[in-house]
Amino acid sequence: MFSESVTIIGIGLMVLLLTRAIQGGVVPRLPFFYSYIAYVLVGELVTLTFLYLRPTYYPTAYWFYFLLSHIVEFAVLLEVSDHIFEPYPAVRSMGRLLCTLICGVFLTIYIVPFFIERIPSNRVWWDLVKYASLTKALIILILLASVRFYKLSLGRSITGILLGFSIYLGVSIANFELAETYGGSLYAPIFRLVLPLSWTLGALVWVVALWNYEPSVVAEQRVRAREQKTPALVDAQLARFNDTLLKLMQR
Amino acid sequence: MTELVLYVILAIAILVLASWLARERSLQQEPESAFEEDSAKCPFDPRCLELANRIFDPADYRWLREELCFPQAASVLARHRKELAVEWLRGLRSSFKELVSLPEPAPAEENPGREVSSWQLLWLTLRFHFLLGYALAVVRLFGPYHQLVPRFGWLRGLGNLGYARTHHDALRAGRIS
Repeated sequence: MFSESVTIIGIGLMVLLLTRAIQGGVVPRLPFFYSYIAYVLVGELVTLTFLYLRPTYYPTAYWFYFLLSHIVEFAVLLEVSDHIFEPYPAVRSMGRLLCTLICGVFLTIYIVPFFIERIPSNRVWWDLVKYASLTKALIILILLASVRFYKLSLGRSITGILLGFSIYLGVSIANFELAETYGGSLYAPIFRLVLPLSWTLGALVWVVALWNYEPSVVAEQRVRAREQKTPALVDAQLARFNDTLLKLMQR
Repeated sequence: MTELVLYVILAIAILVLASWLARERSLQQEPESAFEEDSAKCPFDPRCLELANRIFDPADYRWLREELCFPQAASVLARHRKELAVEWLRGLRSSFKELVSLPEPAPAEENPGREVSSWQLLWLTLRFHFLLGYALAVVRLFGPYHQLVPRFGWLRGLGNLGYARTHHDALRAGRIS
């Protein structure tokens, strides 16, 4: 009962988030993120319907929706990474490179063995979800570390999206590991509560962060740029930095 | 059980790290390098480049060590020059990061001059990081007077040695026959 209440609160937060985004005309700025929110909202409503009207189909419906949402979250993080680095010509593609590399490692270490090794099917899905969450958390941490390293501006909205995901993913990792260790008979009631709770906490952070959308680089910062940093000029200066260092190394 | 503890610690670490990394930086930060203020004015200023040439020039060190025969004074000079070299490289890195962190004056869609590929710019950025990291590592480990790019002239020496041996063997064979 309590887990259903938490799920309903989560649904309420998603409706609030989407309504606010549509009112503010913010949806085109983060289309993947808001599509993901809409998908989760519809998914939760459909699975709740199955739970009350057709309980036998509920597990299948829920797991299909849940696994697909994990895949969609990778696309959301890719969109967020583009948002972070887009205003900066020298590292515009950095987000894509980082996400692609980390996802490539994840695919190689976890997905390929899935098709090669014979492991009991339950464990495979538990592990897949756990490692997918771990990979996404790693992407978030590396994106935040890159922002800090280059002293880039992140903005409240993007920070909130990343923090919300961190809360949800961090709690999910612990939750799935506990479920794997203690098994369904002992841990199932706690698992069914913690899963929607982690997502609802993340959604709460998103509502607060996105209530008044703030771009990562505000217009004033662009105007205050000391020189006209067009990509061509940045290219020339990057080349000069490299040449200066190479000449020093070849002395 | 170990795995469980590990994953729980990992989950907590993710939350703590994400919160720490996402917090707002203080506006006033300590300069990364003693040269930061100077090199930020113009990293390609001929005076900055001349400074680099002097820092990495081993002439003073060799004069003290070999001509005046003051090896200890030469070592002290090398130590100080090493610190200066590291500071100069860090100043260069600081100027570079300043270039990277400056946003485009107009959003990308409005900017018509997008002839340069973003992947090309990223490649230059990553190459600079690699070169600078390598230079810093060599200077910290071996000092500022060590060759930053190793010479492969000794390979030619090996080749000549092989030629000399073959030539010697041929001569010996000629004398014996």
